[in-house]
Amino acid sequence: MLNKYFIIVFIAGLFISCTEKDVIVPPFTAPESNRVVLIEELTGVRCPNCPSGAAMLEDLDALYEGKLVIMAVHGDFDTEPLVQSKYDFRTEESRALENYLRPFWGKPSIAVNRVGDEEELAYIGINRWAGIIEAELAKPHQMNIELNTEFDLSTRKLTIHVGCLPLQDLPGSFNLTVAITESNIVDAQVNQTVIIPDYTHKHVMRKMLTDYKGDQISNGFKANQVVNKRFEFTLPVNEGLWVPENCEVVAFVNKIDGNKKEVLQAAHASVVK
Amino acid sequence: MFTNNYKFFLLLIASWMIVRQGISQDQGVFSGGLESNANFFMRDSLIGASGIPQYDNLLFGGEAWVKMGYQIGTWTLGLRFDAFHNSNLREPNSAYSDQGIRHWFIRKQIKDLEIQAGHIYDQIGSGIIYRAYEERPLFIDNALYGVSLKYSFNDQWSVKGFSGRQKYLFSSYPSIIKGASLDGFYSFGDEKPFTIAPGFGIVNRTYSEETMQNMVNTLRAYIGNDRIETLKYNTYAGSAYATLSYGSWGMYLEGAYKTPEVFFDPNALKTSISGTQTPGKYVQEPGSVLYASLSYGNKGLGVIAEVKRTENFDFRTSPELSLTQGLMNFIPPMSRVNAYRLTARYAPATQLLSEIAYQLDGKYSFNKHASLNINYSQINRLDDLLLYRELYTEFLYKQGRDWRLITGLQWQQYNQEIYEVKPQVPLLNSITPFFDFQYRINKQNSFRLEGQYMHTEQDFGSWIFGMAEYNVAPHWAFELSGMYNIVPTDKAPADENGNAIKLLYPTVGLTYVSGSNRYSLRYVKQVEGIVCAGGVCRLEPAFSGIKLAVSSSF
Repeated sequence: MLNKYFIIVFIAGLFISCTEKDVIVPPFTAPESNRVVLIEELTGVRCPNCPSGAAMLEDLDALYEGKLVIMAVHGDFDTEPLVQSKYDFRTEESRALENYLRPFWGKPSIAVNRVGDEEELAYIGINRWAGIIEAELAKPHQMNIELNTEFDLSTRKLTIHVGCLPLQDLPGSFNLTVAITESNIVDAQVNQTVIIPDYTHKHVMRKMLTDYKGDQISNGFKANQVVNKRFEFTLPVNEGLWVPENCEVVAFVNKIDGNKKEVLQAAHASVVK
Repeated sequence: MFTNNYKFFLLLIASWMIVRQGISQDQGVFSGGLESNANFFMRDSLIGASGIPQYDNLLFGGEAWVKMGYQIGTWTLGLRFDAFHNSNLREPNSAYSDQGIRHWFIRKQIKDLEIQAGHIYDQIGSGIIYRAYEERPLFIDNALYGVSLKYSFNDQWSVKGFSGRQKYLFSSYPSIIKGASLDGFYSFGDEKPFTIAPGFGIVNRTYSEETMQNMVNTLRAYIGNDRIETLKYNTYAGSAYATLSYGSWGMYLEGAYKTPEVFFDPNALKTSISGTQTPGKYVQEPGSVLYASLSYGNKGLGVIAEVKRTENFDFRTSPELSLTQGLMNFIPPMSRVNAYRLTARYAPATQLLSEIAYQLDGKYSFNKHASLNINYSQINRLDDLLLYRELYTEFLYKQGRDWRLITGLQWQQYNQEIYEVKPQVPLLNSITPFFDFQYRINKQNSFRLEGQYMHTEQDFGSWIFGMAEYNVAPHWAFELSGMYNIVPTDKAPADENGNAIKLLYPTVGLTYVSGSNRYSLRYVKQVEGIVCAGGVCRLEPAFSGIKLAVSSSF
């Protein structure tokens, strides 16, 4: 008989507790660190939830005031142009990069400084993104990247100067990736259950000036020893695309350690100042 | 979960040996089973079977489950070894690889008390507030990794309680799940008794520190009217349910309520800093489900009526999870589970946030040869948007053991925009007549012919499906089938000029059965479609390749 009462009390005990105190969600404040985080947004013109994802990133970009560098990657999945599409955002590099950022479990997904693991390198579910970005911004600031651009309007030739300044000794192998993104491209996009014919695409990765995995720049950084690189590229002439005022240069340094490819720091600069 | 699977396995075996020694006079029963699939991917970009690693690079993927169980006296032990190698089961567009012991449990009955530890499958009521189960075709395995106690007061009344974490791949989610239920049974009268089996259940989920921190970080970015000011670690869901029966009548009632919690509503509008609105944001609301079914069966007549109302009942281990991840409950589906290829092509997934649905199913046997089944179901959103409607009729005629004919007609309306998140597609209307004829030539040889025609002007257009199956008992079965897009629309695969193509999706296969071993080899071209199990569905992309399946039980 005692057994019965003991079981009832035990099970009731699972639920008995004092009144729970609410957890307050504090209003937003931007972190003071100089760390700049790379966001590789895996997206596609046929992806019904991607406009929500892009809107979320725009919000977060505005909140974090320049601490995010966003690159929208239109790879293989959900990227085939629509009947209404004027442009095809897919490139060999974007396809290769999307595969390089696997595994991901659908779109939109974002790789945040490539800190995911073998289960998930790019995170699906826009609801999770802010938390992951916040955690990444809170990590120690290890490197500065300075990015300067020179653009000749007549020849459309772009010259890029990249300076990497490690703030401490950093052992290991490091790659530098430089790419050009373009915003304000007006073209069709699936949004939930409709097609928006004049959707404004932002941060579209248009060209990589290094290998899609990056080019190796160091086998171990020494504190305060600057590593410089220079790149040149002529913007193609293409109606509606490659508008210099809408283009931006993105650069980032990541550490290669087996399957890991964590980004230390990112930077971006407009093509036309 | 396990730092070293092999050490754990040896420990479990050692435990078995000790248990055996303690009950040396009992023999015990050892049982087990194997299920395995191997897929060889053959790229066919025309049907959309391309653009993922399996078609482009890996070429091969598969999965296997090997389970073992041992029962001796009042002890029951079980474990299962799972292997996924470049498998597309977890997510059809990616490759997943891992292996190890993914499921184990120990169960012991001590007089009126049952103790279970390890991975536990269980449910409360019909599963509306809690269900831990496995559904392999959808990669659902949300067993509770923890402890469960069940105490039987007598033959009629029992109480159970459990606590643990939900399984996630080869590990577990961090949130803690606790629950309890009280189940009983009463019978009144002797000759024609009225019986009632009432029950009450409650489930609590407590966020981990990590989940709470992630949620706070996420919600900090919400501004204006979207802002959620406070959160709680704990969410509670409770339900009351009862099964009643009297003579030929039966009834099941269940009502469930969930305390306010944060969940992601894909239709709620979120306002950005610039003032524009986009669908999809976290909201904080309570949830509820009401479910009732009434059945009658007598003298060849069987009727079932069901009704269900669901509001904001997306209950997961973490609000950050979506699709089939982290589901803690199971809400009964409200449409017929169809078996034929074309009648099952459009199946409605249970909507967790907003649904009101009913279903009527009647079956009448005219005599021992003939019977008729009629089913009608309708599913709406709470704002009255039609999601699904189906009228299904099936006539069966059976001539002894020699031959059997099933024929009927299905009419469907299916909201493809909602169920498949496809833009600008109209409500799908389809009419599908079908037949299924089986003939036994002699004791060893029999054949089966199946045919369906689906008329629809939406989605990929109209289809015709035919299948011939020849069985040589007790070992062999041969299968040849084809699904042909006889009247394709502009949504169907197109040629280089953009013209829709009449594509054939063939399947050729053979099956060999030897005792409890079953081997199946099939060449398959399969159109994209919905795969469902119990109202939980996902969109599967097209498949092209060879499928080998081996299963066994011992």
